[in-house]
Amino acid sequence: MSGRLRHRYQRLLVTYPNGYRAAHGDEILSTLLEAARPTQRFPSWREATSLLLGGLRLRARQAAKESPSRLWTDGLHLGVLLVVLVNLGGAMEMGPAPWIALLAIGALAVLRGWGRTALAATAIAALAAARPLLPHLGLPWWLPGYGDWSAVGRYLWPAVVLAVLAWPGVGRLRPRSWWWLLLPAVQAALPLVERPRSLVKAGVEVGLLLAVLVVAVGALDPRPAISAAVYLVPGLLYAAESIAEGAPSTLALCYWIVLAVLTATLAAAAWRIRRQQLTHH
Amino acid sequence: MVRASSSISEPSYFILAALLDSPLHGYGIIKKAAKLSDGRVRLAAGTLYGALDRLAEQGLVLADHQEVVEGRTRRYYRLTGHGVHALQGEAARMEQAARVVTRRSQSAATTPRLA
Repeated sequence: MSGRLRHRYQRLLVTYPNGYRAAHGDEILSTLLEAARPTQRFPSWREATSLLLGGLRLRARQAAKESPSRLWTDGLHLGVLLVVLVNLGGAMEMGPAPWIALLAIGALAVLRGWGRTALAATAIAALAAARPLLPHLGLPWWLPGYGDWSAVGRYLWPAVVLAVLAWPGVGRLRPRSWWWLLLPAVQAALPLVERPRSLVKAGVEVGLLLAVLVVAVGALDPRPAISAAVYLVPGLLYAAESIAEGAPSTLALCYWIVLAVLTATLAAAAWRIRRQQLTHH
Repeated sequence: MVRASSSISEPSYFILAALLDSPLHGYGIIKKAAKLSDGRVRLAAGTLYGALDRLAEQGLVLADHQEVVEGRTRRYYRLTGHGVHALQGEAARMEQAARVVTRRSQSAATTPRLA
């Protein structure tokens, strides 16, 4: 029984930074188990809320100690990682093998923080995507080409952000967890969800963005908000192009308006959080 | 209870007070703080470790030693010299703040009021 309760409490420590969990996780779990009733199977609401908020507050304190450039570097890096992973997931559904390999190299390089390799791979992918728009370059036939700018923008945007991150004086990119690779895998499995697929994707996206907003505000950390804003740019490009080309469906319009409002809210949240941090200092 | 100053919150005050006699581990601090505050301060683990972290950063407490009891890790915390000084200063400040009200309440009770 104690094992199950321990496991449940362990999951609630998820909001704490990895380093802190490694140093204090066992100790906190011991305290929680000593304070629990002998027959208790589930964490109490009081302890659960306290753990979730405790982790967020600790992250806030740690974020407040970071320099503004570090926060921007981390936020942009995570945002670009999300974009390249989603691009990879999309390609895995039906793209040709060399194209998937190119995107996978780019995604792996972004994941591990290899800035130059990531920039080179994403720049090649952006050029390849723009092949029909740039016929005089004579790019290889095995690369897929897109005739619309918003689709090209989806591959060009990571290269732009990575070029900013490769600028002299910008901090080193920190390696990210391998768990992020689950994202393209889940996305590639999405076709299994048949008819309401785009609705499921939109629902998951909006839900996650709201969660990001809560975490960013709760932890007084602008990084999740910066990342989400970077992630939303390709979607907004697509929305702008669709609106420019003709009347999109009401549902699609609602979705893009929600995304645009969320992007603006996230940007405002990031700005406000940083101001609060500076005031606390 | 007079609220602690902005530098030491009430939970932190009772955490420091719990450590005044001897080093204690997490659950020990929770029990002692509840006892000292007549059950008013019921520390949840997230609150306790957040407070311990801040107090350690301020140099008021530090980790003393660690032991494993029945497979469970217990880390003991103790007050530093600076922590004892800060706690005594806070207690004196609250005592003085309480006197401001209690003295006047007593004199108000003994002075006949005009109708």
